[in-house]
Amino acid sequence: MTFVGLMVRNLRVKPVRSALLAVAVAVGVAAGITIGIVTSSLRETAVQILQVGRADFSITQRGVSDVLNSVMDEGDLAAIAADREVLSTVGVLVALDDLGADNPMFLEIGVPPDALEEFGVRIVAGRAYAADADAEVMLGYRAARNLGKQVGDTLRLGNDEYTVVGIYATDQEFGDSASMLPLVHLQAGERKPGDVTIAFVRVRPGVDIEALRSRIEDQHPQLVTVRAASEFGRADRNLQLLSAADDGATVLALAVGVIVVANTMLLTCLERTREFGVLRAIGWSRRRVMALVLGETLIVSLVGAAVGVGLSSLAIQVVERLASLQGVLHPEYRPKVFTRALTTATGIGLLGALYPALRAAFLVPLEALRRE
Amino acid sequence: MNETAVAPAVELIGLCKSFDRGRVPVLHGVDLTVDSGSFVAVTGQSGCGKSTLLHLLAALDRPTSGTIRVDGRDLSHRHDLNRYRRGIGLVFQLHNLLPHLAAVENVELALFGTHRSGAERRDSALALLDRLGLGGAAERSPTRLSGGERQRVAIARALVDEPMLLLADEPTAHLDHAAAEMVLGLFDCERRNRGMTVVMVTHDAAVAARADRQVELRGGRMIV
Repeated sequence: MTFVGLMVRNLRVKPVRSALLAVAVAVGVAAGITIGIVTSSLRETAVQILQVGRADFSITQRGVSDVLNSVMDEGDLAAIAADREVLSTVGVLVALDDLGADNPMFLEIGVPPDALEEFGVRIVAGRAYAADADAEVMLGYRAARNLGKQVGDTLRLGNDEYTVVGIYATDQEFGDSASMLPLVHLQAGERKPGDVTIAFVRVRPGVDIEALRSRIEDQHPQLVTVRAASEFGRADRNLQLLSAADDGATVLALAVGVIVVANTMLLTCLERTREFGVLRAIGWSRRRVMALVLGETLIVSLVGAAVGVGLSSLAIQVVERLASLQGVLHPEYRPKVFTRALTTATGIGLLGALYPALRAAFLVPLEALRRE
Repeated sequence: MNETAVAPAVELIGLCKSFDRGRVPVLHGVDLTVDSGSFVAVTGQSGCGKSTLLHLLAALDRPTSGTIRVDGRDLSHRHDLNRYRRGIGLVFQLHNLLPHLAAVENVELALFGTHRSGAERRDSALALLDRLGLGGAAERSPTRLSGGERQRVAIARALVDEPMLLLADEPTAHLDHAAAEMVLGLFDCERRNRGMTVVMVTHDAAVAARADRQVELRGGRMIV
């Protein structure tokens, strides 16, 4: 019999309790992972908005709750474009349209046709829309597939009927799931003439990008520049709140898990007082008794982690089907998800079992032996 | 000749133990010296303090006053009582086997932390159970063993790590004559081969008669 074998034997004495303990850990792990994956997926999707264009950095309005609410004046953009260190700027207007339950947040991106290539758009079928066209639209290939549209088909956006004149790809899931229209037409439709949502800036070779960003923000304090995905929170306060909610929910799930594990293990150790007394009396060290209790909890926790990942997968599938998140949530199971599951489960298990293990280890052997 | 070589296996000097903050005195200044390799039987009526004496010797409890020396070392000065407990064999009056483990696994418990592999632990446990006539019952749970078989499993657990001092509380109480003889024979064998010292609490006059020396506890005092 190995030490681990002994732990497993001990856990099998109360199989239902061990299973329920694993479920408690699994729920904690699943909650942490699900919230984490949903948050990171939403963050990923949001960040992609700023990465559609092949830009060195992006510019949005400072202090908006959601980057899609950003409003910038094309005049400011022209001033930035005039900077000697700036190679080019592309301003785009982003709007949302409700195409029904399957596509409640369909993205429309207004881009001048002559900026499409610079914006990183490749036409894969058909052609680009004309600059002054008022009933032409291009669909990202994912959007075309999801909507079942091809070149020549018509598409109703808002109250207007559009002809799909081209299918494009941007190598960004976010961009490929959207549509593109002439900027001027979308500005008119949205009653935002001369406004753009985001600007994409390319700089000349050798330029100190950080210095340029700093200068732009000094000259245009109402604007904020974003270069890396990690800076996206500067432009989108919702994302900051989302990240904070993620952290808070994870801590809460961890705390609840720890309390449940501690409670259960305390009860288990109380029932096994005499057993620990015997082990101490025959020469087991405190450390070994602690290792036994912690090891048993760790085994349950690892089982809980595996179950938690499964539960999380189910939960995410449910969340993914929510109409409000259709097309927005693209969950990805990266290795760090499993690392997080393991660390969460281990954390819940070890923290929860620490006090019961210490109590078991520091029992006075004779008193423990007298306990019925 | 160095001091350790002549030190008795066990030496009790003025040992006192009382419970309930001194209101229930059990042992009153017990003095006893047990030579290395000898077999001492402790007899006395129920409640006279025999088990308390064994618990003190096993470092499961602390004396109210007095000194316990084992192999010349004062137990009250030892900070490695786990190591000390590992070095002695302890047979409980109530067996104290873990019901969810097989007999052989209960014996193996005493070998955890001894640098022996799992296979070595199992082989040692099986061999000892075999010597105690329990070879066929090794895989059985204690709940499916008779009182006498459980007692022998508890004895095997106490002896499997080859202790130099065996403290046994009524080890033959649940055994028939043949089984008791087998156990006592095993104790004799271990004493001869390894020089193990035995301090045994017993009510059985026949068993006590097998000892090198009998001491009686009466009213918490040692009557030699």
